[in-house]
Amino acid sequence: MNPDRTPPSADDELTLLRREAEELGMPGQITRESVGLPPVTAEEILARLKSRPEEPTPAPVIASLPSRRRIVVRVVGIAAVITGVIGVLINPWHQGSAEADTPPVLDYEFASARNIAYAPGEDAAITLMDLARTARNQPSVPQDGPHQLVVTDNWFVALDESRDAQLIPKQRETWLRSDGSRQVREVSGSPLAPDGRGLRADRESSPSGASVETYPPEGLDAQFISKLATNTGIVRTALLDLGECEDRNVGPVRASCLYQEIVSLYGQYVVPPDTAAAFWRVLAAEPALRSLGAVKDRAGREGIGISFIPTDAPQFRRVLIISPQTGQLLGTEDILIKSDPNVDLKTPAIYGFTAILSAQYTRDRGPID
Amino acid sequence: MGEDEFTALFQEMSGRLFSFAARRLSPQVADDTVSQTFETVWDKRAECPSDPDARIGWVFTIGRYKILQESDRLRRKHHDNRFTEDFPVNPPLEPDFADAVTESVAGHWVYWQLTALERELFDVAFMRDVTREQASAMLDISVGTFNTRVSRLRSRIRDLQATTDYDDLNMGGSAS
Repeated sequence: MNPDRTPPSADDELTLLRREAEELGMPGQITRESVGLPPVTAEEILARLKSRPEEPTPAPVIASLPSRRRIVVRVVGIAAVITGVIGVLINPWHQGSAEADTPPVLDYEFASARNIAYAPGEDAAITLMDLARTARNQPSVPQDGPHQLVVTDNWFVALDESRDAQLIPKQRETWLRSDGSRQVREVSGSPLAPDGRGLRADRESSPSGASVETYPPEGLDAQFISKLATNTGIVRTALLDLGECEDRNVGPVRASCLYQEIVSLYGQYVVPPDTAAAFWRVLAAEPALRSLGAVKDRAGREGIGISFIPTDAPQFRRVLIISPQTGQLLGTEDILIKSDPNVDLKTPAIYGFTAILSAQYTRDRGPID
Repeated sequence: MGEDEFTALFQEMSGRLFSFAARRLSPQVADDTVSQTFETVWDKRAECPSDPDARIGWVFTIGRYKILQESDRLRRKHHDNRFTEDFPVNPPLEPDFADAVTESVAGHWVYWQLTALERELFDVAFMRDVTREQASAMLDISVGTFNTRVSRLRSRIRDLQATTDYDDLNMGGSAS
C-alpha cells in the first residue's frame, strides 16, 4: 500500500484511507436522491420554522422498558409467530404459578444443561461460513409440484393452574400453495423419550384427531423465497426489510431480527440450498452469535448449535440447529436460562422447540381442496 | 447566525448528516432527523460557534445526538411492538443499488465487521471534501487523536480485508 515504506503523514493517512476504502468498495455517501427522497432546501426548513406558532420545547423521551412479564409474553409470542402454533396455554402468572416438566436440554459440544446459561461457546463466524459452503454445494430441491409442504414438530411450555405441561409435541404440516393460500394440519405427536428425543420424520397420511385450517392468499408470496437473491448483502437487506427492523447496525438487535426472519421463513417455505447458504453468510457477520458445537437434535439428527442471548429477553438463550451434512436448518430451541418469578420453572429449562422434519415441493394442495 | 449563514451551513452539512443518519436509521427517519437537527440549529443559533470548523462540529454533534435519540427510541419501539400490529404502514425505501455500483460485497462486509465506533469514524473520514480539522470537530476529538484513529482504522481494514473469503462473499452474484 505504501511503497516507499516511510510512515505516512497524517494527511497521507486520511488520503490513503479514502483511496483504499474506495478501491475496496466500502460504502460511500448515501444521498437523498439515491433512496428516492425529494430534495429539501434550507428555505423550506426556515419557512417551516417561521410558521411555528411557538418555539416548542422538546420533551424528553421517556419510554418505560417493558416489564419482565411483558418480555416473557412477547418471547412466547415470538415462538408462536415463528411456528404458527396458536393453541399454546401460557398464563402461569395468573393466580399463582404452575410447575412444569420440560424436555431435557440437549447436550452440545460446548455446552450442556449444567452450563448452558453461561457457556460462551465459540465464535460462530467460521462455523457459519462452513455451513454456508456445505449448503451451497447441495443439489437443488426437486420441483415435484407447485406447492410447498413443510412438516415441523413443535413443543412449547404449556402451563395452566390445573395441570403440568405435557411432553407431547404438536406435529404441524403447512401446505403453502402456489397462489399464496395456506392449509395447516396439526396433530398431537407421540410423547418424547426421556432424553428429549424421539421425534419421527414419518407420519400418517391421514392422522386421527387432526385439526385443519385454511388461510386465504393474503399477502403471502409463495414465490418469495425462490425470488430471494443469494447475494449476502441483498439477502441481509431483504430480511431486515421483511422484519421491519429499524436497527440496521451490527449488534444483538439486528442479529435477533435476522434470526427471527430466517426461522420464520423456514417455517413456511422450502428454502433452496443457495438461499440457506446466504442466510448463514448473513449470520456470520453477526458477532452476537456463538457456536455451541455439535449436537443431536430431537429427531436424532447430527446438527451444529448456533446460539445467541437476546438483549431484550436475556432470560432466554435461543439456538439454531443446522445440519452439517446439508447446511439446512433442522430446528430451533428456546431455553430459559435465568429464573423468572412469574414462571415456576427450574432453570435451565426448554421453553419451546421446533424441529423441521421435512420440506419439499408437492402436487398435493393439502388435506382439503 | 442569520438566514444566509444558516442556508450555507445547511447546504454544507445536510447531505453529510443525512448519509451518516441513513447508515443508522431508515431513510425516512434519517430525513426527519436531519430536519430536526437544523430546526435545533436555528433554535440555538445564538450558541453557534464563529469558527467555521467548530461550527461544522457543532451541527454534527447536534445531529449525532438526534440520531442517538432516534435509534434508542426505535430500539425500544422495536422491542415493544415487534410482534404486534404496530408496524409502519409504508415499507422502508430501498437504496438504489445502481447509484452505488462502485461499492462491493466485500467492502460492505468489511464495513459491517467494524465496531460501531470504528464505523462512525469511517463514515466521517470517508465523507467527501471533509478536512481533518472538520472531521475532528465533528467527532469532538482533537486532530491528533483523529489522525491516530485513522491510522488504526486503516490497519483494521487491512486486517479484515486479509481475512475476507471472497469466494464466499461473491457467491451467488447479484440479485436473481
